[in-house]
Amino acid sequence: MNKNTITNHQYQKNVRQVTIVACIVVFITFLLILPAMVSAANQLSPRSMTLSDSSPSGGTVTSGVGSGTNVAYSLAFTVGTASNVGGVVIDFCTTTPLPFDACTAPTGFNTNFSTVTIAAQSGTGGSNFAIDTSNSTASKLVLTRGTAATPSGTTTLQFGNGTTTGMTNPTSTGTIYARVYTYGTGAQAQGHSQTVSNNNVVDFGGVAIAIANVITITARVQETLIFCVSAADPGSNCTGTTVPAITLGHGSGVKYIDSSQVDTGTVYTQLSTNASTGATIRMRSGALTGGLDNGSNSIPPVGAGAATPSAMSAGTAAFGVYVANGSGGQGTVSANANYNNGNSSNYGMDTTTSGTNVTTVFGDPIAASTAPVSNVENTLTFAATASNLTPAGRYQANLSLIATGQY
Amino acid sequence: MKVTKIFVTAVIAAFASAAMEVGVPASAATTAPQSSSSQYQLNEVFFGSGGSLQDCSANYCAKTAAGEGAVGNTRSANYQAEAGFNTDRKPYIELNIINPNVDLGLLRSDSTKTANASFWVRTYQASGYSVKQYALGPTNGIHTLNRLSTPTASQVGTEQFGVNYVANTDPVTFGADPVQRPDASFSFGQVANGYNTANQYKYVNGDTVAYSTQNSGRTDYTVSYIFNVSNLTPGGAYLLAHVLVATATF
Repeated sequence: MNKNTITNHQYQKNVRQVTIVACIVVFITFLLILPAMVSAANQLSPRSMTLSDSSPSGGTVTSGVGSGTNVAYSLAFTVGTASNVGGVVIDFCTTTPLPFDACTAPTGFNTNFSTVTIAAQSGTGGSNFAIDTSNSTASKLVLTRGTAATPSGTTTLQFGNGTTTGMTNPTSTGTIYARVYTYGTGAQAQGHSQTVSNNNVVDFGGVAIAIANVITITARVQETLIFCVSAADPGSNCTGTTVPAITLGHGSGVKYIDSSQVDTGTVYTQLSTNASTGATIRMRSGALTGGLDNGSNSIPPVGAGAATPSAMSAGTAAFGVYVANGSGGQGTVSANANYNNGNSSNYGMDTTTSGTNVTTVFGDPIAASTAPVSNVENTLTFAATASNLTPAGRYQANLSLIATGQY
Repeated sequence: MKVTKIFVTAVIAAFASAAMEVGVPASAATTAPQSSSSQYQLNEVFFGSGGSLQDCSANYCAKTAAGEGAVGNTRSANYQAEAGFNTDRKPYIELNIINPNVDLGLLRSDSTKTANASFWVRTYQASGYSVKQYALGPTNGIHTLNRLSTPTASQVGTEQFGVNYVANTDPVTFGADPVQRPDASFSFGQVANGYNTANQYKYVNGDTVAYSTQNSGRTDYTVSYIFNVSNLTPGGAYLLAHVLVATATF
């Protein structure tokens, strides 16, 4: 009995041990195959989200880059599982990038899913997606495609063109997250819940996105007009000028004009302006006749004050000016045709054009630019001659040169 | 029996490990995997003593650590890990603009105006980042200042707009080289070519201006701007909305 009892007890003990071992073996086997039984989603890696503008929306910059509006979001990823993908879901959250965690939509953020376009999509097996506007929301984009395919390499999906279409950034700076899920079918993607996990996810990846202030720099440029008249050739920005008081004539000692020749003298103008449509230089004469005056006598304007330049003959009393086209600097200051007909021996002094001649209140245009110019010089060659009848005396004219910018 | 006991001990250990692996598959995960293979992933896991991932009362929770001897990032060509009890499971990238608004006043053709702005970037659990700049350039609505398409020295009287991200001595002493915080063993941000030469300025819309090829702590950057105008530069108020976009690859 004793022996039988011992034997039976030993038997029961052995059975118990075998049972335990068997259970353990079964459990271990279960553990080993469990990972394969559970849907084994992998990471999308590498993955990134590139923005065309990281500025918060609702700031002082209300349009374009810096406004945080119409922002292109470009998602790039490489799948971790070589499997068909028929749908993609992107959740935008402030709290965490972790899948199916509680998700708070970023304040002010909007996918603009009803208007945003997929401006570009590329990658082997990574295209032909369309935005499912029925299942997308302001903080979630659902992408589906008719035929699932297995992406390989880098898949890039760009939402919005960054100028007229795109998403609206949050109104605050800081980090937001995009949670990217791939699904085998579009229907599975459409059934996605932001916070309820499911086993249909093929791959997942969280992406952090930085929203930061825009750097704004303001600077002012004043409207400028730098103009000078000088007897000496001026330096840049009208440095080194001398008083443009010229005495026409010839001879040693005191110069004089007579009927033997035409005497000339030059002055320079220099013009710089940032006026968008340029500037005009006008000349106004203080002489009543527009020529050179000496009390009751005068040397008349050349060509009887006609609006076209003409040659000046020694012995025929006349006074006029030839205006050369601008030179040097940047830009063009063209001489007016009244004072430059292409022949530097022809002179003009318009006193006859109604309303606009050297004797009128605002004078007569002698040169002009149609765009901003910098340090452009025009040479003015004044010429005079006297006739045998010209009374002796001192003949003079004060000529005012006026530059006016058109901004 | 001794063998059985050892076996059981091993099974318990395997169970504990497997529970962490299987209990949070990526498809139904509540934590992001920091390491993974096709079958397994390792999430935010606490090994050893001296700390806890969740010390919670009814209302508050805290992560605690004691006697933490070694912290920081370790990496190979393909993998990286954050060591320490208080590692965060959330990847992030932070871009912080420090002094975003600058008024330069009047620009004149006989002098250069300079300005600085600064920002810093840091990432966590990323494999690197890049910072790109966007903006057409300073504009008065009609005219945009001439942008230097190649690194060029400042020249008074010539319309120029450019930036760099280093310390300069010309036209004045201004700007600063990147500063790694706390030091260069934790942070690795660099200034991109074209923007990393002192006294040379450039501006191209969309250019990458700074980057790191690996996960990086905080790097402080200083933007140095130069503005030169000529006599031709149209008048008006010129506004530059300089947008910096930081993108991390995870």
